[in-house]
Amino acid sequence: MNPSSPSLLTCRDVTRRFGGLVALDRFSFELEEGEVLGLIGPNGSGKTTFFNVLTGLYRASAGESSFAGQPITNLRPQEIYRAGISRTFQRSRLCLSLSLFDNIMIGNHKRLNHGPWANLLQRSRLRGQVEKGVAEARELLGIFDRQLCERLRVSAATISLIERRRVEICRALISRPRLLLLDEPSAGMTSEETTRLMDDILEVKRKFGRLTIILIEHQMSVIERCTDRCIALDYGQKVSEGSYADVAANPLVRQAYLGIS
Amino acid sequence: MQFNSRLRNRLAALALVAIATAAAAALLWVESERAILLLLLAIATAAFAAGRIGILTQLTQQALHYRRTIGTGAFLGILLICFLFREDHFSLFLIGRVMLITLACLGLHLEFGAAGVVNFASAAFFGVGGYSAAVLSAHTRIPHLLLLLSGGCASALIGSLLLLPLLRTRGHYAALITIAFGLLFRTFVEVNDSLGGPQGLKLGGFKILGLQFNEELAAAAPFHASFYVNYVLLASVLVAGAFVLVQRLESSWLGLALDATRLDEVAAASFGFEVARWKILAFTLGNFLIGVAGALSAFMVGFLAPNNFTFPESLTLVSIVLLGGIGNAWGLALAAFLVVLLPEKLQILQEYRYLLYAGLVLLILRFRPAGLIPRPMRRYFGHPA
Repeated sequence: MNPSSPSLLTCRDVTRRFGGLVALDRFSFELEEGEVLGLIGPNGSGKTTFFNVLTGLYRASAGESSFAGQPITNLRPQEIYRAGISRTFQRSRLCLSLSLFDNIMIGNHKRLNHGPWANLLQRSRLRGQVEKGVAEARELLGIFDRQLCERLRVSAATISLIERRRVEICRALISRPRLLLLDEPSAGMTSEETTRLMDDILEVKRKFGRLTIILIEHQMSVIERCTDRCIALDYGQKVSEGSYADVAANPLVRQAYLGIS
Repeated sequence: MQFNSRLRNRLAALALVAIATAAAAALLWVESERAILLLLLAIATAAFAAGRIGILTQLTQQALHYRRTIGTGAFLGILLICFLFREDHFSLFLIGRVMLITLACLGLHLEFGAAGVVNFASAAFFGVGGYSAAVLSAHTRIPHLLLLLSGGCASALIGSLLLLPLLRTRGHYAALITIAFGLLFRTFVEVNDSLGGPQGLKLGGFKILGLQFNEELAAAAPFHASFYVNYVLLASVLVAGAFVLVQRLESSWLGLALDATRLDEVAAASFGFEVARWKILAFTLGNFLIGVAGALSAFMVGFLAPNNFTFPESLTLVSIVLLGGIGNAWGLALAAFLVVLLPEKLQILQEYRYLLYAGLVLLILRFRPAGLIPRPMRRYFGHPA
């Protein structure tokens, strides 16, 4: 741990180029533990690219980032996950042919024992793990949806879009990450549904203690209500940072995003 | 009450096995082609009708939760069929073949159905197991039971050569790599005189602890029995072992990891899955099972020729996995039975064998895309309840 930087996540000049296109341009910011950061910006402004670079799906063309004092630049996605960063995807990536329980347990990978011996021969021990997993999954999903948590066995193909989002967030939360990346959790939802979803997430945050969240979101009411701080991106560059009111009042943001000059 | 319903479900499972055994015995017993066609029609109609009123799905889904009951029942059913057809070489040979094809397809199921690693060279891996057993039994005195293992290992080892290109490609390209390997294998055997070349290679019979498999076990039993009974019994033990392995794998975190790898590599990687590791595991274990099946098959048939390990043979194995229901071991056994038995019983079909397989696959994909017995949701130990 570096005592001079107490922040949980530090990004310095993180850049990602696709050929000649600079999707993310020298993006720097710091994030305190327990904070909820909103990331806004028009389509193609580099928000999801940032998530993909941070989680190791894309390599950073330049710049560096560190998490909990450890450098994490260009680590593989698997290592990022094990370090305690978990995410959801803009378009649902649940495994539709698997049950809700299986989907949530996919997110629990690092806490499950994958040894051949433990899985094939020590069946009673495995049984204990499964029972523990069921209890945890039910409790977590229960925060979001009282009915859904009784239906862990049904296939993910049979539930509604909103329910899938909830399951996906549970999949990201089940491993108790320190940093949760939410990529437009509200896509396709009404603002009431989104508000409820975010309230549920904040409840999880309260229960889990110091969960830190970065939220990509288009609905300004959600950003206003749920985030402590806000960053606006445009053409891959940070154009504004601060409280929601400050960012929303920034003329650059209003022009780029809200379409008001 | 709960005990009662459990008992009823268990009885339903046993009834299902009994019906399947009876149908299998009837198909093996009937000889005239017309009678077979009628029988098939009757079975298909019954299955269709049961499917229409929903019994079939309910029965199979319920029964699938009693794997141990079904497994034991199926094993007893095989013993019964062995006894009924004890003097009938041909029927027993067919049963043995069904068993070994099932064993190979269980391997293919791990690769293709579980981890999503395509393999269109399964017949070649079957051949690797067979040829390695043939060469080792001719030139060494290694016990034959170990030759089965070494056949599996040889197949897994040669498969690992393919891993490097396979892990770097997906979809069509990965499929092409395996197809190319199948062609390579056949040519390699054909030009290699020490492997018998195009004429093929003969093997002696299988031996365990001085027990000659190609001789009747007359001393032990008060009745005559074909020597194929020995092979069928050994094959059923192997299949039973593979079944237990595959099902335990399926109902554990390992099965979940394989599913995650198959269904969404990006999401899997984002949740810590080492995608390559799971693909390697599935491909190696799968080829091992295929190789073991190939080795025993070589002993049972007593002869190996490159023509038996060609691309169409690989396609046949793939079509069995598709027909049975991708990811369902029981469906696969059923499909193996149909695909092996039908052309042998209906001589008229022999020449049109591949036409039949192709037609079956098309029909299944059109009308029952999840296969004859679709895969149920994973249940670990009856959980989540």
